[in-house]
Amino acid sequence: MNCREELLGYSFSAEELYAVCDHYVAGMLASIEAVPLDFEPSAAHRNAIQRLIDGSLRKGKRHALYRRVAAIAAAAIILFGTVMVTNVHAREAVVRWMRLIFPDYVLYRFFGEPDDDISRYTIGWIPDGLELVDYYESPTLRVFHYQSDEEGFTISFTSIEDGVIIEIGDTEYLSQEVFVNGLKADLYIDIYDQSKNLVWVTQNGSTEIDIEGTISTDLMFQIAESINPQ
Amino acid sequence: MLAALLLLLKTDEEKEQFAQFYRQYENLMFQTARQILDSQQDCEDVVQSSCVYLIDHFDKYASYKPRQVAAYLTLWIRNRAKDLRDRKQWKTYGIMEDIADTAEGMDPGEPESPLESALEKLPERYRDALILRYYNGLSIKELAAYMTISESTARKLLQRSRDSLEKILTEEGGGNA
Repeated sequence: MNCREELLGYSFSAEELYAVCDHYVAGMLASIEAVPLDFEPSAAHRNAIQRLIDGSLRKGKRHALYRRVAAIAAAAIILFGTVMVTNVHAREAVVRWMRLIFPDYVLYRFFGEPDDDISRYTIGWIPDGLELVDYYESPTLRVFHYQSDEEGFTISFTSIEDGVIIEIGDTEYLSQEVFVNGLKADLYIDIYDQSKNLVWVTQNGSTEIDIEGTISTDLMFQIAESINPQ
Repeated sequence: MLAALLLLLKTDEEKEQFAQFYRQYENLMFQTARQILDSQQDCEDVVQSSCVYLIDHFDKYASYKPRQVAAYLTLWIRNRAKDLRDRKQWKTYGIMEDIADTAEGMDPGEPESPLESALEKLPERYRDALILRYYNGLSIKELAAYMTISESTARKLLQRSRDSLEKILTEEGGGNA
């Protein structure tokens, strides 16, 4: 459905809406630009922007790893007042996170300061045929993408930091409470493409681990249970 | 750190185009962030993290008219700035604050018509959705990505936004404007 069709039955047309938006935006921009900036962007900032512009590489390997890192980097905050949350769930004795369940996605919201070294977690077992094809590592986030010709998965280790939100899924899903090495976990299965997320938080409540992919549930659990802190 | 993520500026020409674009709109991005954030460092953080998204979507808005580009940038930066501010408030108070839903620091001026008056009265999130869809021409998928929501949520958000606009117009006798 295009913009015009969406507005059938309303008392305003696409053209009228465009015109009022144009006028509204002009006023908004004028009010922003009327206040002079009271600082000059730093040299460090300009360098960072230049590095971003120069950092073009590896087209074609954006997939889940890119989305995952970008989502966490942006740490998007959902406006809780405007979205219907169907359930809010806090778990474990040391509550450092909450799970907010929406009709078609789930948010994990973390609290507290990071006190774990996520680099100490290693993946002990990878199914035959799957190879590491991309990865990203920072002090607070490590993401690894494994792929074969037919299937793949992404595993991420996120250090729990105040305000970080992780979104699972963007369509309707089925969820099930499960266990990984004795720790409570959540398994989500997308009802459309059968992709899955297995999500849990380490025993000290400091690191969130998420395996996302199209591999079988059995393989996902074997990988999950092979993860151990060094 | 984030440089390793950027993949879409393939050629020197594209990089130069984005660099030029950045220079053109840098001040507007900072002015937008500054209206919401107190520190220069926070403003720079927001602009830098926003550039990750903006580079990735450069092909989408590069062909916009200048005012459409400015709207696209301003709404993005404003929302990221609010995200950062709200995260800091949560950190400070340890509770989920009910952040007032206002167009902070942005006075669009006198409305020219009942429809524009109704647009101004909408909750910010609804107004943003209408501007991005009917002014910037984003598809549902693009709107969902922009607002970091699912496509079904984007559809519902647009539906509510249109309905709310109609309701305000009707209540204020400005229907069939």
